[in-house]
Amino acid sequence: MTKLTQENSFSFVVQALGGRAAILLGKVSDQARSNVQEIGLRAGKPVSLVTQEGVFFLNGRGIPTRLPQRDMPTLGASDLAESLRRLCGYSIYSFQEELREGFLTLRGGHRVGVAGTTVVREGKITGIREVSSLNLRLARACPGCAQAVLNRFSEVGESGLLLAGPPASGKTTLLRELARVFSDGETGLVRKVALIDERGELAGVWGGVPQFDVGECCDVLSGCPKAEGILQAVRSLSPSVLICDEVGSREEIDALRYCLNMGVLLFTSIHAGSKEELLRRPQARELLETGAFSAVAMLSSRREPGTLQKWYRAGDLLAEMDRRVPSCAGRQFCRISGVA
Amino acid sequence: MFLLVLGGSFAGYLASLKLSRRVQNLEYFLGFVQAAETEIRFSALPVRDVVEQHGTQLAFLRQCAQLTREGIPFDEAWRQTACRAEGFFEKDRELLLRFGEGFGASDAEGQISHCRLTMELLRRRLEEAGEEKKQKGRLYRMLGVLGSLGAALLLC
Repeated sequence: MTKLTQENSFSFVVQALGGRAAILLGKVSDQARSNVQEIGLRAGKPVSLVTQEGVFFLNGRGIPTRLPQRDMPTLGASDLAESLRRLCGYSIYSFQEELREGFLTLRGGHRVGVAGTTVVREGKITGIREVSSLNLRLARACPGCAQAVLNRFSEVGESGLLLAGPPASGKTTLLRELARVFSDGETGLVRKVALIDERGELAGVWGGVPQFDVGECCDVLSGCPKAEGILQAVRSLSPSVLICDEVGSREEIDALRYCLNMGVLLFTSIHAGSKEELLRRPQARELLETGAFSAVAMLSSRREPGTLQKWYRAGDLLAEMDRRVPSCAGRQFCRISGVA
Repeated sequence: MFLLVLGGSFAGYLASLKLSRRVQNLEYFLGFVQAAETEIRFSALPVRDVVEQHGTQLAFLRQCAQLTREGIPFDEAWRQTACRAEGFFEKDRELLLRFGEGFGASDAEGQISHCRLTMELLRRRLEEAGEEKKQKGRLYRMLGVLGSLGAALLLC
């Protein structure tokens, strides 16, 4: 498997885009390429590049600058339509289901978010026409990035781990690395890992083969809704470790509870930029109350993926949540007392 | 003298063969579009594979498949090969190019409509080509034989 660096991910995506987009992005220097996490293409607007330092805009010479300028080259709606067609292998209909969800996954696990005029039938989005922007999120593999997290986890790891962090903090990258580490037996014991990859980001399966190294003993359920995937994996694949990204709905949390009863170690993630945000999120509370997680690893967005900012024990967080938000019964009681 | 008659007859035969080939190629292309519609409806097979699997009877489709295998983008490969497709008239090539422009460019519903529209146009084109073949095919052969005989008599 080719080592997936930001630089060759960028080149791959540029080649896949083709047309004018490729000409504009082709001018970006190798050094700038190595920092790019996302590429934003918007009709009538300059090309934007998202790095850890923030958002940059491309000028005519391919140099990223902090602020957009009037003379910067732009792409038209027809350029975006052409690029989307290329990304879909000139077969938009083959990616209809993915486009309905607003994204498609490229070979290599790179994700393309698509925005435009949605086609709605009976209240549901059935497609996108007149594409107005494409957001390309470059997949990255980062061998060894889970070490700090695993070191802490080994101290308290009687149950699973919840990864929290702001967007682009490397939650998905870290989950992928955890899958590899466990299924390759780098923790000392080869474990059967089930990876529930609803949006194709974790394993980047293409033609049945995971594009990322997820280890030798990892089963991937790709494109599968998380709640159903979790249940199916537990029933049919007998994993000892189950990994999925961004769990939050009622069905997904119920599926995790079921999983827990089967003795499976769970690793998942949640969006939260800080401890405060995490404490405010009802999904975080519900997840921690399942008892599936012994700790929460708060990741930093400022450094490499997997950079541990803080480590919280699940019990401590739940206690703090209880202090901040009294139980529902308590609130009712206070209100009634107030009226009386 | 004999060679002159033979050459003239052969020229007439070739002109008539051109009309027959056009009919046959239009039929093949109609079959290809029908197959493409079925594949899109039931298996969402990408255009490249549709051409690869169902385009074996037409030289330009075989060339298109070859070019895409070599890494040339599908739209470019189609344009390159369709505009030089042999056994078609110029107006047929325009139809091939129009089909290629829309092929794969929309969702399944849009593609099925695109295929059906092309099939309808092809059927009309086929009727016209069949009629032309019937009327002009014999005429060209006769003209070839009689013209060359006339020329031979004049030379005598």
